[in-house]
Amino acid sequence: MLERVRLSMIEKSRLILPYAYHNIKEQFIVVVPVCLYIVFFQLTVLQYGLGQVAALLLGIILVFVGLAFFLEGIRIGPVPIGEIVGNTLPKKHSALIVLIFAFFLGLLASFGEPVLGTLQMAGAHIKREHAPLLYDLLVGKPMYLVLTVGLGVGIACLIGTMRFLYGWSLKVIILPLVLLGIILTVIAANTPILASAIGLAWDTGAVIVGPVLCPLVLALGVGVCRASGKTSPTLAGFGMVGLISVVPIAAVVILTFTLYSTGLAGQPEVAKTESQSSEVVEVAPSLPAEIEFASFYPKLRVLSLPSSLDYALWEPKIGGLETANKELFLAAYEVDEHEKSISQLPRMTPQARHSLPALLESLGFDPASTALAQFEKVYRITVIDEAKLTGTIVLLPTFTPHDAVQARALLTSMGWTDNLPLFFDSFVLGARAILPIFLFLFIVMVLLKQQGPPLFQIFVSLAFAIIGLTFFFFGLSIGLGTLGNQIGDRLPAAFLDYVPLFPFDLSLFSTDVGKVIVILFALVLGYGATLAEPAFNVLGQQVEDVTQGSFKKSLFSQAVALGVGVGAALGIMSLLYDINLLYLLLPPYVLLAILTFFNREIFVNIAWDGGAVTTGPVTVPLKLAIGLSLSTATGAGEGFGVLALASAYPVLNILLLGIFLSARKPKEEMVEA
Amino acid sequence: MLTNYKHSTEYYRVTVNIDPDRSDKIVDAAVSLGLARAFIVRSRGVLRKKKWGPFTVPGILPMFDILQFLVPGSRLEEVLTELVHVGNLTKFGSGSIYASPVTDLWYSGTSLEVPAKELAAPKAVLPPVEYQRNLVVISCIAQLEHAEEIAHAAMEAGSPSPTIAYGYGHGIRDRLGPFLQLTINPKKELIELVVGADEAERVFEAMVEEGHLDQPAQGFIFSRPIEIGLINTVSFQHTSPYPATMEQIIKAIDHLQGNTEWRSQAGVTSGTSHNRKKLTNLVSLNCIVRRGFGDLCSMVAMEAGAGGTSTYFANASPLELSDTSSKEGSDEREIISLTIGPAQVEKVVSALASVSDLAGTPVLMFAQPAPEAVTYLK
Repeated sequence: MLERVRLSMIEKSRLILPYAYHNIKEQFIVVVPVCLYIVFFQLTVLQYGLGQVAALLLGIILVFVGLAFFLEGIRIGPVPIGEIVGNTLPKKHSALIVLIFAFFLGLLASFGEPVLGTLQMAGAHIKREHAPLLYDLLVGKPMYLVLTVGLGVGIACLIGTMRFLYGWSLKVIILPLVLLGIILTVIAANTPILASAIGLAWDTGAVIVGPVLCPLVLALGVGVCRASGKTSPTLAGFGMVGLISVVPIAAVVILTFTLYSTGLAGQPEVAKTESQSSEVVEVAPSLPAEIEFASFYPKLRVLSLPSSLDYALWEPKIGGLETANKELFLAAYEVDEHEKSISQLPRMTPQARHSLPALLESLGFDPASTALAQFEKVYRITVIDEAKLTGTIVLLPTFTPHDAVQARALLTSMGWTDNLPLFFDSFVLGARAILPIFLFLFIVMVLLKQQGPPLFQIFVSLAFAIIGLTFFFFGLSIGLGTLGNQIGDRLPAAFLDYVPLFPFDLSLFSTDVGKVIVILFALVLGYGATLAEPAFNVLGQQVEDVTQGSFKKSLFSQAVALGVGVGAALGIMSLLYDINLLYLLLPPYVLLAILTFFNREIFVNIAWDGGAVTTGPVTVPLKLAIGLSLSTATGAGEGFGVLALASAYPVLNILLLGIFLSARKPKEEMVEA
Repeated sequence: MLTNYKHSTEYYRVTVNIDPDRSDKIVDAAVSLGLARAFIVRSRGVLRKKKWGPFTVPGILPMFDILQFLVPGSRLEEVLTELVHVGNLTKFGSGSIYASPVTDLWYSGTSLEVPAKELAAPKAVLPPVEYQRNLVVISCIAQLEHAEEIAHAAMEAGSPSPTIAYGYGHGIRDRLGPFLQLTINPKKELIELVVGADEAERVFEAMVEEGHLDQPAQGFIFSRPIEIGLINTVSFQHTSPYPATMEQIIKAIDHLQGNTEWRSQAGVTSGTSHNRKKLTNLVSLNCIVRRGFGDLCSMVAMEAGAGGTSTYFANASPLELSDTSSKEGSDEREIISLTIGPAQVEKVVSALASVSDLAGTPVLMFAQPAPEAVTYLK
């Protein structure tokens, strides 16, 4: 053993501080600009004050600190282990064992991916009679979707590993898969009831590769490539991430076919069962203030929540809708059923506004409390009874995930902070994402009798990864998520005369100008938010490493982020102008297929991988909040598919870059010296 | 001093620096020459232009395969000439080839990595190549993300073609506790470049200055002499509107003058600290083992007294021509490079030699003179 060097505290701090500074700075410079941009846009263009500044600030700090911890944890633990396992397995065992390992790695890691839950959360606002299939997939029977996606990821890992073992080109694999996805999509598009699930299928493909899957799959790939030696070292590990984003598309479309044809889901005639446990109480109509109110809102209801924790779970956040809260949604849904859609509601008259405090007082609330001041904005819902923490919610006509944010604002102002359970949830979410895959890798490594990183380092890496994800998720829900929701709520005001949450304001700009502003906003937001994505950073680093630094991370970042910006802008455009998603999705994918065919292998690999990692836990909540708000405001679609677009254009960008470079490279034209 | 080890002298370490698309040709030629294995290190070149046109994004840097062979001194010119012809290395922008002397060579058992001194079938006589002499190769280990700046400084000072590869460093990091060692990234960058002997001083100085290599924990730089070489790597990437590029013109004048001394008449002698304290007459020791044993070797070497090591990954080329379709990537090696004083050589070499018994893996070591080196000195 080498002799240990003893250091003084000062010397130790000279090592630790620059280390911490360097890691945190890396994340700071990608997270903070996009936040500043949103705040700036909200304050100046949308002329809307910032709420919950303290929570926002804390949230944003936690996001970049969490990211720093998480990425460092992944770098020192699972990545080396994954590479060792990937390298040893093919040498010691048959290809079958390697493939089985790859399959389960993909399956387990996909369960850990936090973003799928966000899609389910977003599905909560879907009305069953509009899109029964989508509703069943996301809300009714979410396990089908989770399992199908996991299976798709597993199969993708299997194909990807076979590719590395036998040295196949990515082109011949990804093109048929994309084609399959497109054909299935076109077939589905012609079946009205299936059409609604198309956007979801493509979105699933886009979001599934996140901070857990990406580094692990890359490490596995590098290891297997090294062992097989069939792939050029410049391509080591690439291509699998891209496959993971393509296979689940076909898988989800096939799932919808299967579920629909077997009658398991999507049948419009299925009767909805009233939940037993929800306590729906009609407010006594004898209240004087209610009379005036009831003329607008005939179905005022009071719901009771089982516990504060459930409320926190129910809050739209990453991780999605927990089963415990379904009855709430059912109840909310029931109320909504008899109402017109939100945008068609009449404006609240000054009289109604005036009568609100009296109404609330009659319900037992103190109108003088600070909470009531909020009611001018948040008139639709949400008061929690301060006396009992079990809480009561006053439900006004519609109850969407957006309202929950408003509810939270209200709760915070009432001093009813439930951040602790939220923090705990973040922790559970983080541990759930990291632990299974960590254990799996560790056990395989021990079984293979391989010397990995020192045990101490593995523990530190586990601790870093879980701390990092906890901070990150918590920061997202109180910081970035809130920021996204605030601006999402306000954004329709740019072009719409009537905005549900701001019934007294007129639109800020004329319709056309407003829409252009919103589209431009989405462009820059897509660009900026992508730069903060953890998986994207991992892949960028890998590109730089494997090419020995010749393909710089910053070049990759700019090319991809620009593509995401364009894709996001087009997605928002499709919502604003109600353009069928297929027209926006299919042409770029057809173009992608052609460009893929003619491009060099390395660019094909990097491009498809790049497209897959763009949408993750940072972009998804922001874009979904905006997408949902806009689709609610304009009444167009469900808001799905926007994410898929954002991952098609980056692929296009890198493929074009590849074509450009190939055209530029002089072909063996060396001059005699 | 080493049982079970074979010892040889009068070998050369031949390095070929070439576009990855064409490295297979060189490897095949080497195989048919009976040169045993080549060790291929992948690296990137450096371009004079850092950014791409009007954009602030960096361009894509050219990649290079650095092929290393051990060649017996008696066959040096023959081998070099053959490789130059196969790789078309006399052409401008085609790459570089150079040979640096190896003073001692040790290898365990019947290692297949070292070619025999004599070869059966002599090749057809090729036209002679005019080699450059008086060259020096400078190697520099720098912290991550500092390498490109150092390489640029070297180019400014007159070096034609630095290459950079990723590597891993061992040293003070391994003497810290399990937690503190996480704070130091073991990943390093290794710069290698060739310059004329008369420019070497200036380039060396410029690199030390730029990289603060005389400061603690910044890196290590040393030079090795080159016997003969041919440097045709370019560090720019554009189609020139002129019939000849500036590099070509300079090269033509070099050729006419027969040396590069005329360049220093431009008066660009750096006036910076020439009184810098340098380490002199060190030995650069390289140890090649199968991948996975590098950490062990580094530990063993450091226990025997080496201050630190740097390791880079290489692929060993196949021994037979039959398998030319793939580069046989599974035959991975680690090259552990360390620079030590002449008095330490015996101890470190015997320590490293013990690895072959300890881990049952073949070990190949060779020593080269390193007349000048700079690092932080306490």
